[in-house]
Amino acid sequence: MRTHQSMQASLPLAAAGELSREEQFLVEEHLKGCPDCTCEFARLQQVITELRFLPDPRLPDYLLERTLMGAEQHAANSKERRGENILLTGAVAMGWLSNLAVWLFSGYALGNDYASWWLRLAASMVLSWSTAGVAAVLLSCQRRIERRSYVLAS
Amino acid sequence: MNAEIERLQRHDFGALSTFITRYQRRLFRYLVRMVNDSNIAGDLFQQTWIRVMERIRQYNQDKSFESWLFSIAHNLAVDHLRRRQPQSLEESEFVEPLTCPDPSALEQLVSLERSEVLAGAFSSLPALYREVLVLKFEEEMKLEEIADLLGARLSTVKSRLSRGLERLRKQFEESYPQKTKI
Repeated sequence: MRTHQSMQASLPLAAAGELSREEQFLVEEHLKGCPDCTCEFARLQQVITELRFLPDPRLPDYLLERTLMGAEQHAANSKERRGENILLTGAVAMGWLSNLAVWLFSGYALGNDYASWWLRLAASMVLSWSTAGVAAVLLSCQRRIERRSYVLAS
Repeated sequence: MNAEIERLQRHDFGALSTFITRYQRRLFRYLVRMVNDSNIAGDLFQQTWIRVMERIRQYNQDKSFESWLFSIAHNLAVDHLRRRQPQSLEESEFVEPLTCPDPSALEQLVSLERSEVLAGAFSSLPALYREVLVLKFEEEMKLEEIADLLGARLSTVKSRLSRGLERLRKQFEESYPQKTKI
């Protein structure tokens, strides 16, 4: 036997039609003999009916256009970032490979004695900085080309 | 629909335009109901579609696109509400000032005013409840779908629905007592 309080607690879900068939039946039986719950149930149903017909907010002007423009801009920025990342990854890989090549080649050419280690180290350093310089120049060229194409497009 | 999704996965902005047009009214309405501010809702609307384009390749076509779209919007709206006021999901963070005109005006504009008062009472509910009520009664989603979208348990959604309706009824009756007596 369910109490009045438990029936009352079930009223919102009953009004929303979200109770099981058995629970709904129990609530309906209770409503037949309880004017308070009947009144509350009717008010809940009324609120639900009106909730379904709340006025829609007005769509802002140019919402579609603004959203499309934002999405296109975002896609263009992502593409640009991807390009830069590929370039940087390539430059780093090239730097490491050339360093390794210089190290191996200089070892073969100069021998593995202590004095030649310093020479080999210096050659590697020069090569690293040169690679970083080339990467920076490449990136700035790419940015310049992109800026030029953006100016032409607009 | 599948062909359109595939076009979207190829980043076809024509397809994006079709999708935005199809869902803009409902998605914008949902966001406005969530954040109670149409300017912020507009920004979140734009972010939602940007995120759709970013993640469209991860979208599983076995699931409804609509639920996926609304779950993205839900996450963005919740992030916004948390940033704005950490407790705002639980508590009412914004109450539209309600003006109740004199009885003679009430007689003339009963239904319009009732819905305005209800909208005011609705906007003063905590976002947790507003969201479930919107998805259930405006978007007409099933509770299972809502639970899936929110990443919550069905019992949690039922409890939010029940409490939300009860609080809405009480607030509506407090704001508009003379017209809610049956």
